[in-house]
Amino acid sequence: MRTPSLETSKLTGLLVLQGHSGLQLQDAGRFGAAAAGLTQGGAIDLTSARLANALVGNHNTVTGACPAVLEITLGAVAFRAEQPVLLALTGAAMPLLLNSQPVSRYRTLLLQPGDLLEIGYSRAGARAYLAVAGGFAAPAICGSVATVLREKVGGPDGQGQVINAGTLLSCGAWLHADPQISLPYHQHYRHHSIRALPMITGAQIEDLDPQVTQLLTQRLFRITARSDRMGMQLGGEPLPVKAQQLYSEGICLGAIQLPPNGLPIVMLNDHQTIGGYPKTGALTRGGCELLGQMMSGNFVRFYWLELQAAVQLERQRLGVLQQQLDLVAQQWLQAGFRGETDV
Amino acid sequence: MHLQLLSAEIPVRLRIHSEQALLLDLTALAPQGPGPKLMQVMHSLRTHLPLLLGDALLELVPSYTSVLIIFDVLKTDHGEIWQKIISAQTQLFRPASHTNANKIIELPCYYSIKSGPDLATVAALHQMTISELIKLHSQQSYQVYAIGFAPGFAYLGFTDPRINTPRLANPRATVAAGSVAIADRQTAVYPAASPGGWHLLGNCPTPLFDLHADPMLPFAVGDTVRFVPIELPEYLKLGGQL
Repeated sequence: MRTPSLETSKLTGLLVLQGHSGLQLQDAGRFGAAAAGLTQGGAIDLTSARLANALVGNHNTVTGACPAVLEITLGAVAFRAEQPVLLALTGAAMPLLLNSQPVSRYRTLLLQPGDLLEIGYSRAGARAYLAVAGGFAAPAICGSVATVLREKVGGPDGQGQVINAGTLLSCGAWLHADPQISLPYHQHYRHHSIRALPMITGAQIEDLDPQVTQLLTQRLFRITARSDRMGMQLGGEPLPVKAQQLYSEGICLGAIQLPPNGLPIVMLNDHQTIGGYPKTGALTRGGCELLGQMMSGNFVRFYWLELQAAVQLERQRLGVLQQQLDLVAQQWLQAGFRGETDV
Repeated sequence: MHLQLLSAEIPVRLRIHSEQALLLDLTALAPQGPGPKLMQVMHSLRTHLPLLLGDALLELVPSYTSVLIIFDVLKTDHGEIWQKIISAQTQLFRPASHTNANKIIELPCYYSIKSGPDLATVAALHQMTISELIKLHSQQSYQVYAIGFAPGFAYLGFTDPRINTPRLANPRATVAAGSVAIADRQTAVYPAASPGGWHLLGNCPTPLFDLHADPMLPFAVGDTVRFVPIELPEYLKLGGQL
């Protein structure tokens, strides 16, 4: 038997060969700490993150906790397996090479030690999710490993450091054959470069000029390059917003802020916890996931939805996800596993 | 139903913020603006709402004149939460002051040019001596009105009108952790080193914010904070750095 060199025998997990600030460990987010000023964080497209986990057999439900995954923004990352790893990639359409051969997304891939996984720039969609069987190990801060760079919280070291080349991600090992679990093509995430997204009226809408809120649903807005995990900054013809004095108040995911420049900002997962700009209401959680997948230069339009209809839509969306999780769990049973991987 | 009034006696409004969020707007409870009385109500809400809403509650964000409630859409909805608040309104919004005495937190502060580089500038701006400025800043009781901007950053108000100070024209790239600062009508302690645009008067040597502690902060929105001037030996003994 060949004795492994000292260096390789120490390495276990997934070694990052190429990373950047858009490669982050995320989960369902951090809750219960907003009153201390910590944002919620978490996977922007949580549905895709949950599907990635389901594919590799990690325990997952439609709401609540979600095992840690890698959120890959725009692509351009590479990994080398230092142990056998079972993984799956979902979300944005990023080209994927395993040892130089193109492989598919939305299916399990088994990497042996030394295998190389390269992910190229996204063709469509902004964020992909990579899950491994057994999950990634990271210290939980307030119950979550979600990375928030500006707060220096979360991620592999707990201190919100960027995952760069050389970072070794500690994760579950897979010592069986590839169970070949996949999600049918028609259920993959579909990117659209233009979308109409529903929003719920609320917040300061009564105090705003009705003309402003009317224009908000009539115009197309462009996703600008200034958008990030804090919020999507929209471009277009500015809305005629009047400056308004407002005591800072709590901000929720999806809130549509109208700053004095008249260009809406939709708050995403890393939004500040409080703010003083007037808001017209918010996108639903599902709407935020779709918006967060849009790329700079894409277009969005908003339309009003009654609260009850929005709640209904949200429950429907979770129902569809439940069916997908069930479908994948069924495949795991057929593959001879009890549906959850043991770590 | 994005805007509803609780009752004529308790003029609290409910504002829909998203399918999983609603805001209690307390503005009408304090027509003169937020103050110690409103912060007593805030203290009561912060204590009672988690018990009232149970595990359907995901997040509670109190700030100045409002409380944002974020909840699990599969466990409850706006209507149910509003009904619960209506049933418990007397307890929630009319706290007996003796049973809800707000915590008073005393923070040591070393006022000096070394720990507070803007001390002389601010004193000169208000045409007073440095010791007068220190006296006016430290004899005031402050309410914690909001926590945000950065983890653990608390907006404390309001300063004595005689020392209200505009923000720096050119914000600093780095402000030392523990810096005690003022801007407009408010004061604050920078919990960690960060960029900052407030005028710096001193430094609080006791660490205020710890992610791994429970609670992470010694105070919450609704509490009362006072600054206690300390001399250099005590500052250094408490771990203060220059």
